[in-house]
Amino acid sequence: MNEPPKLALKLVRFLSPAAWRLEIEGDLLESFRQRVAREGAGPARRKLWWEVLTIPFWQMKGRLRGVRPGGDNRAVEPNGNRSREEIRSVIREVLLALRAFRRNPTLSSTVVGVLAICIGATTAIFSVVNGVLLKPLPYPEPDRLVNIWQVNQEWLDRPDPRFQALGWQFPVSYPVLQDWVEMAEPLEAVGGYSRFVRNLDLGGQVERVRTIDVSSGIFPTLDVPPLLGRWIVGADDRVGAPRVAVLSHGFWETRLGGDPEVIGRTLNLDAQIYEVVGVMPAGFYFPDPSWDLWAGYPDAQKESGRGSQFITAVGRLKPGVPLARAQREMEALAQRVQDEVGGENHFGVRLNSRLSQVVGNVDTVLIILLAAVGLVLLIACANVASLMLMRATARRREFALRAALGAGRRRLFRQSLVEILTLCLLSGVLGLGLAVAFFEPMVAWLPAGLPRADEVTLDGRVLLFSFGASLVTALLVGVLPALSAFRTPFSEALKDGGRSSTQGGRKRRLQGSLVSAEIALAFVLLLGSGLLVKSFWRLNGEERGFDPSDVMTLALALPDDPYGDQGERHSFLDLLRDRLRALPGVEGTAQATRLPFVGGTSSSNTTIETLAGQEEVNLQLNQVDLDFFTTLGIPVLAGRDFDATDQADSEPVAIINEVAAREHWPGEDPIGRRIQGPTREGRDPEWMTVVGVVGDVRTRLDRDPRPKYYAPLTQAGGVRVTVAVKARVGPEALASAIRALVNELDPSVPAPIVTSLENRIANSVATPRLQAFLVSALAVLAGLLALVGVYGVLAYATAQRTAEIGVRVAMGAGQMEVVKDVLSRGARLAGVGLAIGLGLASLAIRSLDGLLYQTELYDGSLLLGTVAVLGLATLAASYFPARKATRVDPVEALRAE
Amino acid sequence: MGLKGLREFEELVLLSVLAAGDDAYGAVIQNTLLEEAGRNSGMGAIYTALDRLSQRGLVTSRLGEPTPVRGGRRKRHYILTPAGLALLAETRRQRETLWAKAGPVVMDGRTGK
Repeated sequence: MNEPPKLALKLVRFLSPAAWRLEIEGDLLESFRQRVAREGAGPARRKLWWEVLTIPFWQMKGRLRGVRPGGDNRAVEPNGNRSREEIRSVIREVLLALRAFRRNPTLSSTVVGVLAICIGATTAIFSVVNGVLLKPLPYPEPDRLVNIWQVNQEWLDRPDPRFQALGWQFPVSYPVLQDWVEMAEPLEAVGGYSRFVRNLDLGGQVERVRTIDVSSGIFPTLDVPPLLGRWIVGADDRVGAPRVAVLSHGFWETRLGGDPEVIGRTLNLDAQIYEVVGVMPAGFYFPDPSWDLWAGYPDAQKESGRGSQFITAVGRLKPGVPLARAQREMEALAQRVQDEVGGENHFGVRLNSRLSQVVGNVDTVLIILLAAVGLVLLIACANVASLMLMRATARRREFALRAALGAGRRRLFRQSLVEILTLCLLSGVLGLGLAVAFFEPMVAWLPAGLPRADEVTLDGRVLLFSFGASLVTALLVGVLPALSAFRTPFSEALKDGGRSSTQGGRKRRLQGSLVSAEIALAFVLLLGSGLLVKSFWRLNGEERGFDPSDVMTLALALPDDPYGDQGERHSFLDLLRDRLRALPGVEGTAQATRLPFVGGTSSSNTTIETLAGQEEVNLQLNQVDLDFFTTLGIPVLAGRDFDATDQADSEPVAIINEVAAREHWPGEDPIGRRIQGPTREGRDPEWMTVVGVVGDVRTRLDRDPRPKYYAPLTQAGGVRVTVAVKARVGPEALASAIRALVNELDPSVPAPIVTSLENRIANSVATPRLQAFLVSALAVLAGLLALVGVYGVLAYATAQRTAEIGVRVAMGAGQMEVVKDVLSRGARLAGVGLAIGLGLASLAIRSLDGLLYQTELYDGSLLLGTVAVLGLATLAASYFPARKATRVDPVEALRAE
Repeated sequence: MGLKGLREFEELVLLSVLAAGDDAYGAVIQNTLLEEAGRNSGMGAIYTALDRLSQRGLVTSRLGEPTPVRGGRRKRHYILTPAGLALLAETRRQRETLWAKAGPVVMDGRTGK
């Protein structure tokens, strides 16, 4: 952090005159170092930026007093004079422009304000797009990194979309990975990884650490050298090799205090000893920054067969090998291996780029947001262009006069452009300032699941984008008025006292089309936001099927020793339940292998008994305790709840949900029917009798409940157990009480993370919510801008026609007639705008497909509603100028002639 | 505006060049201005002032050797010309004459001089 900002130093060279260039950078650097020592790095950096950015100001100030850079005693490069003259005249024009703004402060500050907000918003959204989609992954030549999946043909053929999705991304087995390592021609390196969360025992204190088991190929694939020690290498892949681990920089610093002697130290992970062999440098992550360390695969995994597929494979393409060729060669390889191994095969192979894998499907969301904010900027441009057109008309006489006095047309055109460019660059700087100011709150606001969220920064590219956006804005805003001023025959302008003429008519049409374009764009945004809001509303309003209020959840990771034993596990869980209930304010608890909105679901093919005989169906399974349904408020619709008689030695029982009853036992009573339970180690699957039917529960808001059965924890029981506690106490207090309790019962159980169920539900829809909110905010802004545009154009047109209206009123035209005249012009603008908007929208909203939840893209009532709202708002905006027109006093108006 | 069209800031810069002796260059002048005159001024302002002073023939400069603390960049050393020195002496003489004329003045409870 003690280094000066590089960008600022680059700017110095750009901003200072040639005569200063040799020494000013050194002086700035030296005084930066002094300031760092005196005031700290932050203030020093700020001051440096300030000093660099004010260089042109001082230079200009000096020039106005006739100071030459370098003074008298330095030779100025001989051929620099012409360009210097040019620059001087541009500076003069900029100063002139600034003076012109001061003459009309309301107009200029409106323009700068509107553009600054829009450029700021665009820059902010772009910074997110940049961080997530555009920045390369932090490995050398990241374009060559690919994910290699198996394609499970059998799963692709199943009707359930979840199988189809996973079928495309099927993990690989250890032997297949080894085949690829040895034989994959197009790949320079291949490695595999699997995720595990383990318990780390740091001398009695146990913590959860997020570990990635890797094969040795991972490191050469990623190709980032270690900071300390070595990578995991081929020798570590051998069966029987000692267990080794490579640490992430963050883990090394926070948990091990950055110990420089860490290589050779051992870590106790899940009661296994791992030797630390390396530390990766800061900034390195894989697969994402939440993981603490990388460990070699345990022997059991190294020896696993082709049937156990648990590895995600990544590879590095050889230089110059395109993805498509690699894909073909890998398919051929898979076929060859298959021929050798023999047996039934339904696995293909598929390569995709690592970046697309990491980013997933957020790219659509981000591109839509960027497009939305770009549309708003476009509307603002149209608005400002229309304002500028008005001003150009007002200044026609000034320009004509100057032309008559000998100013060339080129020069007038250039001045007009420079004025607008200055305005836009000023807006750009301000907008960038806004983006910087609101950057941190914005980043904190990003939804939790956004990949690469911590790579969102304001870097050179964002700066460049912001600058580019202001330039494009200047072009869009500036060219029309500048050209139109250029086109006016100056003699005409001098002759006619600024009254309407054919030229005025053309200008009015131009303004009218700008405003119609604004309405059209605003319509597209409003319609899009309407769809997103409706979709979010649907999603959030889905019947959850249970009552999450006041419920806190915690996931327990019970160590295998001693809790691998079912008896030990149950006695711990019973004790925990009793102690939790004794806490003040606790109303109930529940234990289950799965809680809604916590973790995922698991399902398997299960045999059931129906009237028609035995049938194999896919069912989800959740193992729950006796209080589960009561605590979560899930209604028992038929039969009974689990009770104390359902013990390990009593008759196995199950409860099914409504969907299962409807789909699998249609038209019959499922109670008393049997389900064949899961296969457990060393035992045959048992038949469980259905004793009850409960209401459906959503495990995610965007998925309909699937057929499911519940089994009592007492009769089976998974190792992983989540606990729910319903209590009317503050969540903070409850969470710390729960953590203290777990630690007291058994310090070897890691402190669980306690979160409220309502928060989890809210987080699960954070992305659609943010999306709906942002697009709506932008749409409202766009609508307001368009209305301001309508108002401005009509008010101006009315003002221009004061004399004409005066004559008409004098000739006996009634108020209504005048109002109707103005309103009908507004209605025409709106009509054209809405018609174009409908056309645009029918194309644009297709991009929303896939983001909407149970919402039709072409929604008639929403469409009509948007048309009505925007149309009426336009009429309202035209009403004010219309009313003003009726107040025209004919005598006054004619006198003004 | 001070003596002979020199602005107060330019005069201060001129004085700082004198005060810094043999070692007067941008960063040192900036530091002197901050510590002795309480002026927190940007490098652009100082460079412009120096340009004007040298244009008026009050200071002259030469390029020095690069040093590591400056990232290997060179320094431009400034010294006063006889004209610059004479101007400063004249300013000082004027002020002292005026102070002498004003006699002892009480400022902040102390006797000013």
